[in-house]
Amino acid sequence: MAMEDNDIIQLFFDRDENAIKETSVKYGNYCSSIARNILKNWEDAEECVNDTYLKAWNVIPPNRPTMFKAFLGRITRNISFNLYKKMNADKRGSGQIPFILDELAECVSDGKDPYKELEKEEIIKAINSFLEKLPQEKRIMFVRRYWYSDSVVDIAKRCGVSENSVSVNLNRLRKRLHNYLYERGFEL
Amino acid sequence: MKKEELYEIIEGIDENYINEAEIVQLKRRQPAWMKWTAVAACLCLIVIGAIQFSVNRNDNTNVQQWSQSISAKDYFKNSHKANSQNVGSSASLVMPPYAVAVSINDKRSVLENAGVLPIMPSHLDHGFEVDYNGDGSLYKVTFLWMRRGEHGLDEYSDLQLIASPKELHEVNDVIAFSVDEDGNTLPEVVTVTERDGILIYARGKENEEKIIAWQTKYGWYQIVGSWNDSYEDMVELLDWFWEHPLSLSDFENIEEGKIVYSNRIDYPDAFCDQIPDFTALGYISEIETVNVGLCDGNLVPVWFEGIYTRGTVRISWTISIGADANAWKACLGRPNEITEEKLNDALSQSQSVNVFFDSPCMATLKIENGTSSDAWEIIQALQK
Repeated sequence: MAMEDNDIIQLFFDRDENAIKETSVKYGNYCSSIARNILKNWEDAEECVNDTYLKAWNVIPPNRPTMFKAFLGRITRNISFNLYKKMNADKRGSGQIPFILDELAECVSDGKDPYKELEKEEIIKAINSFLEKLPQEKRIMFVRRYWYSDSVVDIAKRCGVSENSVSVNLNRLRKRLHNYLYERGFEL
Repeated sequence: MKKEELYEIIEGIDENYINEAEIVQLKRRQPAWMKWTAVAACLCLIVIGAIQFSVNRNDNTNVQQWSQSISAKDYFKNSHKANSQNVGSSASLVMPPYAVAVSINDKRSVLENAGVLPIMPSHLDHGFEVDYNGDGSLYKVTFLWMRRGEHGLDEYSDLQLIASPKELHEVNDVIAFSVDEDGNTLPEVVTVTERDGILIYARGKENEEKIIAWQTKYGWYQIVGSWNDSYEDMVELLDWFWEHPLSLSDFENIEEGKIVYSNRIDYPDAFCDQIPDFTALGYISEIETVNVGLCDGNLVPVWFEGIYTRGTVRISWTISIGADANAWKACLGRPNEITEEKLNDALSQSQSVNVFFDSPCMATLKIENGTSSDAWEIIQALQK
């Protein structure tokens, strides 16, 4: 029986190493699936999941995550994507990322200047507001594709629609996101 | 902004949306098991059996609800009523349903460590394989765990998990069905259990092969146990995969080099006796693709697709060395066995027909904006 999130977090606060074990039991598969969507290679993905536990160990305390699962998923996504960039993987062997990045390229201008942290915060707020206005089904499609890096096939199965429907919806959502951000002064 | 930056920014979206996308199940498709029907024969000599079992719709009226207290035996409580028998060999195996088989035997510890597979300490031997269609798409994944005792058959065990994106059918040379004391065929009797909104079908009894089958958003699954595997062994594995659903996306990408994607110019001899001379018939070739892959350990052409046009008529000619049940169902026979009447009849019901070759392989003729006369002309070209 998996432990409650609060109890696991308390183990982190108590500096009890069982925190890692319990996290792995409850959320190991969840983190692995995120890492594997990005990296595809099991060994690399597993390394990222282990790094996720280490990172969680280092930041809890002082942090006390309110949504532990999403908190771990976010760390996994971050570490996995950093490894992906480091490996500079080619299009054929690296999961969904090359395709997802190509899709996101439709929303940006490929400008050279990196965005500052403050500006990024503002963009996140705008994206959250964009997501809030979407019907649930479309929001789930967007988050599964661009946050979880799921394949179109997996999204179609999850949402009970055809792959074509997912592709068409994602295409429209990217355009809508681009326009939404542009109208709010973000020239990405 | 660069696309990588946007991908990184999306990382920061509201956690509620991240959770929502993980938890919410939008629609549940009606379990397609309910649509199962018995698979019939094709080409007189070839009998197709489903490795799953067909489920009579009426059986679903008696669905038991899963609870924590349900025993392993309960999953099979109706299944033992039928007296199942294997009845003779009636056909020879002519063709696998898939084109390329890739062993992943070396991945056992990696998959166990990643939490994809359970650790089975008493099953020292194993056979893991991923099978692909000729176009590179996934056909099925098989994990077989074996145990062989030192003293007789007491410890014998063959436990398998088979997972696939679509309902599976395989060409068998033996068909199992059930008979009563007078030798009359009985309908398949299965036990249906609803667990977390998913129907689980169980067939088999003690001292016989047992199967547990179910479908989730990830695909089709079945656990197969040998005559010596207990109900408890089967359900233990079911419980594990219930808690750790196997995602087929991990196996969708075929290992590089196992299928070589090429074109006909590089492999001019590929399927040369199975591709009609479209040029002689006045067609223009738009695309001619050949995939080369591993078949029985040899690198051979496993798939071909050609698109040909003549005026407004568009023909797709696809050949695969693997053929699933649907391919067999749409098969008209060998070229010399096809008559114009048979072809007309088939094309009145479908845009495509399948042709069998002894090599063996199966070709699919699909016609757009054409008549059955155009199709007959192509079949005749093969008959010459």
